[in-house]
Amino acid sequence: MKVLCRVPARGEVELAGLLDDLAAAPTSQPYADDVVALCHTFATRLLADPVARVHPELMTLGFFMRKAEIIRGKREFEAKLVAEVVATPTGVVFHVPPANVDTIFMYSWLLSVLAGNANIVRLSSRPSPTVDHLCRLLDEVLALPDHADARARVAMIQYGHDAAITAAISARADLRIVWGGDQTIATIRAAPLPAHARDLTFADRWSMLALAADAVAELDPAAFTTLAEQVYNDVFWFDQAACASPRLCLWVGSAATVAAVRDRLWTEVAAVAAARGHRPEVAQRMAREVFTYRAVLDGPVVARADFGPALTVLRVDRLDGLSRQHPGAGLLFEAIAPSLASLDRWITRKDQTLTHFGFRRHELVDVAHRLAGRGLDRLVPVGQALSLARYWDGYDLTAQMVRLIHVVG
Amino acid sequence: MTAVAPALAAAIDALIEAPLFALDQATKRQQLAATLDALTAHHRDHCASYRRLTDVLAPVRGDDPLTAVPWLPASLWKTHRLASVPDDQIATTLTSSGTTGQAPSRVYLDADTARRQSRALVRIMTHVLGPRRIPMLIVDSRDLLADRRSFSARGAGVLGMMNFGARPWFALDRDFVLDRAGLDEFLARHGDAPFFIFGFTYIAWAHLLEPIRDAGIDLRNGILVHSGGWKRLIERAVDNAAFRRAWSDATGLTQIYNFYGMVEQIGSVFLEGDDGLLYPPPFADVIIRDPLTLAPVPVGTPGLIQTVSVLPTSYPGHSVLTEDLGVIEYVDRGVGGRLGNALRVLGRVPRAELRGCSDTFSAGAAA
Repeated sequence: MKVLCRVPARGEVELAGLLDDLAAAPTSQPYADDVVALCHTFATRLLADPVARVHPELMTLGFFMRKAEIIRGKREFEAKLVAEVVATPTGVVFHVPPANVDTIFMYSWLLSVLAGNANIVRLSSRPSPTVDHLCRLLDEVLALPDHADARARVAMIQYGHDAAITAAISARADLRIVWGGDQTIATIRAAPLPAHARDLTFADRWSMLALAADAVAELDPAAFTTLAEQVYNDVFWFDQAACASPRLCLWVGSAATVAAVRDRLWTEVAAVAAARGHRPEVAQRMAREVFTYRAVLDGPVVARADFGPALTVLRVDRLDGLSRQHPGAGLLFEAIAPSLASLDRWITRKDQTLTHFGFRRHELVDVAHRLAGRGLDRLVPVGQALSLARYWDGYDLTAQMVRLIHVVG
Repeated sequence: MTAVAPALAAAIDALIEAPLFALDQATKRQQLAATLDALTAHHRDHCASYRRLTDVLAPVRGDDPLTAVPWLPASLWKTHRLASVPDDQIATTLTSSGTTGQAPSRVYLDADTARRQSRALVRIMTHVLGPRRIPMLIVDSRDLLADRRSFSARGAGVLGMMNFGARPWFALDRDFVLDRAGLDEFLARHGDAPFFIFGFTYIAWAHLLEPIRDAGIDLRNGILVHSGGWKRLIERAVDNAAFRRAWSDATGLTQIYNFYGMVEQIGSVFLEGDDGLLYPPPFADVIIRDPLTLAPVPVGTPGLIQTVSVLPTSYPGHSVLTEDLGVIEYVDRGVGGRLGNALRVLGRVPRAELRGCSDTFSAGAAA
């Protein structure tokens, strides 16, 4: 069985040999100095890269990998370890990132390489200039003499929907990380792991935005524009199709306050979209239109408003009966509620991120306590919906990547 | 009570009987708009789903009464049962072949709508074929009509067209291979006088013209009517002009009429004129909308095709936003004596690329 090895750039290689090499690669430790240096070099090059500068998601990745960020993560990691535990790598990690969010494979690899693991990453065969660019850049950095060891612990490979290859890799993995959707997880799970190994799965999720109407109403014009920009980034990056992309906006406040700010905010968000040259594709726009008609027939939609070609807002008069179908690319459901507690009954395991503005921390903590793990794994401020963090989908990702060796004596 | 109000029924029938392509656009718009508005009221009264849609969704309007008629997206019939008559009055359910992997559209006809569609088609086809039924060659397989209760759009199209030909003969076997001996026999018997050839554009090209291209067969008395879209021919770099030239060069056939129609508005056929453009009949019309704002665009600007038709009374399909792109090239120019909108169809809206984190494999497979 042959696969195309993109990083390191080796061309077509025999899978068995590649897996043997990975298993035999020099071992490392969590947050080893050479890996921290590798991240730093990569981030520095990425942030200075003219291609990356026009892709906000690449800049975000660059910031995530800066030395200061990595060191902060290292301190946080070390602070949580208890004295009688030694943290070590998990071994060989098999990553199956999504085809359509072009940067997830890097985050997945990064968290694991920082834990000291050897990593085999499946890249989609779907053409992506972003993925190509990141692979080229990473390959260059790994070719530096300082990173020979790290280079031996990575293989980013491309292969079609070949169950035999997936099975062969899975049979050698200590940890398998599958980034949705549900269909993919089911398909990949059909390939057995060794008895000791684990799956870390990221299922299809749904996300929303909560705005405290009073807080929005009080904003001065500059802060109001900033809010609109943050909402724009959260909603429109990745065509609103990422798990963490908000799809429902819950206004918390009185109907009168909401009525006074609602259209003003959406108009401003649409203005940001226009200023950034955002134009939906015709097929996306049509899909949104057809979805809107279906949503009216199938759910509690009571009004529809368009804000330029970018954004359609569908107002619902209750959450009951609102399905979690969504066409992506510029559609928000909108509801009004007296408090965040109105979400409690409606939230399910499928719900991932609540992006919020204008709430106090204790209100958010209360939401987490009340839901008691039934749903919502992230409550983050507006503008951070898509910022991947150590804590994701209910996991401490870093903790998932290491083994904890109990040493008493 | 589900019947169409007598005044509305009379208005629809009058439009069906009106002379083809004879009205200037301003007069036509006026006549159509009043009847379409009455149809909107009719469907609001008889289809709860339609009432809800028109209550909640204010369509993007234009500044004339025709563009103000609310529309439904054509693909709504793929997922929802939208009918303005009770089940026991549905005589036929039409289904579209649909794109691969998608549910077909399902359109519900009662006897009145079916009758009006047939009559409308008669009006248009006699314009092309003359008042007398002439021998008919169908470029398709007889197997298409196996199930008489529910037809594919192609089946419905063929069946509808069979009303206009005499002694219809199916030229293809079940494997879509041309019956050469049968064709020779058909031509020996009927080839010296006008005869009617009907087929879907691509099928006519690939399964009739191509097999006989170098055979010196004479179809000069044929009148070819074809429809179904150009996608597969454009892939082979065959446009309307090349299509016409190829038939003429290989067989002498020059009387060729393309038409544009859809399962959601069967009977409202836009017929090709001397200028190669498509003209709506007096009971239907076309509006072009900006694909992003959905506002009507001026003549000469391409956009999404919306079609209106007074024929559908058993389902709320009198105003449909398609996923086809087109442009009204000019209005009331009078080429070949035709007034009104002259439409060029530019093809389907191109598919969007999926994004998001939930499609590792499915999107990969689609790519």
